[in-house]
Amino acid sequence: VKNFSILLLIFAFTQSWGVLICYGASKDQLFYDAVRAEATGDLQQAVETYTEIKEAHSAPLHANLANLFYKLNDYPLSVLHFRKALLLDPENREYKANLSLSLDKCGISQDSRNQNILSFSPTLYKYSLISLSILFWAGIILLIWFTRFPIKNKSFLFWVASWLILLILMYGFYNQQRNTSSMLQREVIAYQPLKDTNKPNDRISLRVFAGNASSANTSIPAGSSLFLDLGKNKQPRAHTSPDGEKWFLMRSLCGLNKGWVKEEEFRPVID
Amino acid sequence: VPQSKLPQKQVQDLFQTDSDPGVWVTSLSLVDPIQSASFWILQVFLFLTVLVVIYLRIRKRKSASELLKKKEKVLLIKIREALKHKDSIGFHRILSKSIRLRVGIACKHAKTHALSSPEVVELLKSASFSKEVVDEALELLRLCDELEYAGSVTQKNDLEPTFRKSQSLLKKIK
Repeated sequence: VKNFSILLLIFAFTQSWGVLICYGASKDQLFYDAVRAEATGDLQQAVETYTEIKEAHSAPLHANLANLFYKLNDYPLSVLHFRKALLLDPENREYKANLSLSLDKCGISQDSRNQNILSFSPTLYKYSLISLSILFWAGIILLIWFTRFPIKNKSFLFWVASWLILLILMYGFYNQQRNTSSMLQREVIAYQPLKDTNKPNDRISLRVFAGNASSANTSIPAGSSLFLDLGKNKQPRAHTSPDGEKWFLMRSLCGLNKGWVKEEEFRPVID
Repeated sequence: VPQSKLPQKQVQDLFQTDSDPGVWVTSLSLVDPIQSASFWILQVFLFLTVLVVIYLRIRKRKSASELLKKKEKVLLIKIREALKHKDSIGFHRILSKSIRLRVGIACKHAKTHALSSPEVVELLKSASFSKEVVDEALELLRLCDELEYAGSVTQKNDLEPTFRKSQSLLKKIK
């Protein structure tokens, strides 16, 4: 029995390692296969191979996909994947330049681009909160240690005021990052499947009500950012039409343009 | 410069394929750092640090007040010795120190030994002591200054009433 249980343990251990190694290898293998397909000029095959990689993301994966979509004239999807790549590698200047070019191709003006969202870094967001809390607690500790009553020292008051100002500024920065993060969670990229129209600058209608027969409030170019409108329960405001299509209420970046958009007419940045 | 107006060569340099898959992550979803366990562990650690600092501060304050009390006791012993040996200069020097120390404790001033007699009296006034106490302190401090520095001829018999007066004054300054 003892020998059998040892054998069973060894078997389980080797199998789990095998699964892990195969999983890692399969992702890498698919990636290299896609790169090879692209190198041979088979762009469509390269896209298909990349999309076979499930539940795994990397900045080069999304950047390569974005490059392929750009070369296939599917600019909205190129924008979408550059945005995903930049979430994982926010400082990459090449991705930023490429995204800018893709947005140009979609016909999205510089004014319609939110620089806060485009340059958002999850790492910076995390560190802004940690720095804020360290600044707060360090100030409290120093205050407890150095305060002597009655307070007569003017330089002490100066340091306390400086600390408070720094704390407010840091909180402002953190709050801005938090708002941007919250917007990113709701952000989608307007998308029109290329096979339907084969035109690079398609426009997406923001409809008055959730139905194909509805007139449009306005329209925006595919590749633009839209934001899911949240209801009172903090869930996206959605509606399913009688023909089974799911519609979502969206707003543009400035919030002025709003309307209902079909589920297949957008792709979430964070899915 | 808008990207579309870039020279063709520069545009060609863009959109280059990465041949390395880079670091894999399982999800793109943004985790709110305020909901992460490591953030709250850090907060608990910093809060405990604050508690430790408060404890150390209280302990330091206690030990400081105990030290001052010890100093006062030592000064009282020295005053008695000076009185016994009728050492007028020493008596007045130590008496002056003792009064300053007591004023320092009462008015929460750490360096009363560095203040002049009028400054010590001002400190007493600012701490709302009665005029009687202030006047008595001023009188004693002046006497101590005169006898310590002016080298006046001392009436050795006068030390005892001065001592008694000083003790009654020290009791009032609390």
